[in-house]
Amino acid sequence: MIMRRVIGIVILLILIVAGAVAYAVLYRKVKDVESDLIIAEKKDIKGEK
Amino acid sequence: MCFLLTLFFSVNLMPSHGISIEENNKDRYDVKIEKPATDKADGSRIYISRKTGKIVFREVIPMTGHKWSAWKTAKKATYSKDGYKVRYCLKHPHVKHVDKKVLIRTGPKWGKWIIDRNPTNNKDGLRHREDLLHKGRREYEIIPVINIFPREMNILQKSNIEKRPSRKDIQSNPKTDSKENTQEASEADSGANSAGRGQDVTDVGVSSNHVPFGAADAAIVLANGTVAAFWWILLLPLVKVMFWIARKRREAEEKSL
Repeated sequence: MIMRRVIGIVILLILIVAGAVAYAVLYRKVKDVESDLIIAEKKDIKGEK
Repeated sequence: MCFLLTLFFSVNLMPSHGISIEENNKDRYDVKIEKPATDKADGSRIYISRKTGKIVFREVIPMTGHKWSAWKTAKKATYSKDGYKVRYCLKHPHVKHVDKKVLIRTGPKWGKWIIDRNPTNNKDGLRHREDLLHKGRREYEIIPVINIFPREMNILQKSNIEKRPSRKDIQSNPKTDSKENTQEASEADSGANSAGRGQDVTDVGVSSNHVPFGAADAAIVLANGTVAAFWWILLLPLVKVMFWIARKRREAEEKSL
């Protein structure tokens, strides 16, 4: 196989792995933050009437 | 009177046209054909005396000759096989005289290639061959330029460099080694050149390593783009959320201070 195609396939694999890792990390962080949030009514929020 | 009678008989018995009256009587001779007449040559007939057994007369038989009909193609010539045409003699219908002539096949019978111009590194060569059956029919062919691969060129150059005498070698034994080394170098050069020249037959028409952009390359590029777009769409909201959280935390810290 020629070098050009090898490089293309390697970049594709890196994109898939890096994307999956980034997705997993960000998903976990957002999940943690969501668990800390308190659901409040609109009138109870400061600054809102 | 007797004299006159003897004179009369002697005159009549004299040979006329080479044959005497006595000899002209064919009952007393055997007739044989010495040489049969052909269509192009006269024949001869001989008369042999039964008494003496000698040839007394030789008669010429005129040549037969022919009155030929028109040529008629009996078998047509094809691309690979000869045909033939015939004509018949009209003069002697009772005897079948046939003349036959071969019709040369239409396909060529090529001779050896003759090189008109040898190919060089930047100019095509030319060669031709002639049809042995049909005069004037000739086929030309271009001989492609001599193409040596860059990789092979590098190998040749490397081999030349390796075989060339180094300065150290020359300095170590300048009197004796220098001549040998230079000879080796010249041999290496000539060998490389001859190797290069030898490529003309085997490497002609072989292209370099360059592979054009094909369907496989397009598929790889498309896959890369698709994966990048997919992750971008999926991760962008999460990243935005992360920034929002960070901003909120910073604001909360500022307020607490």
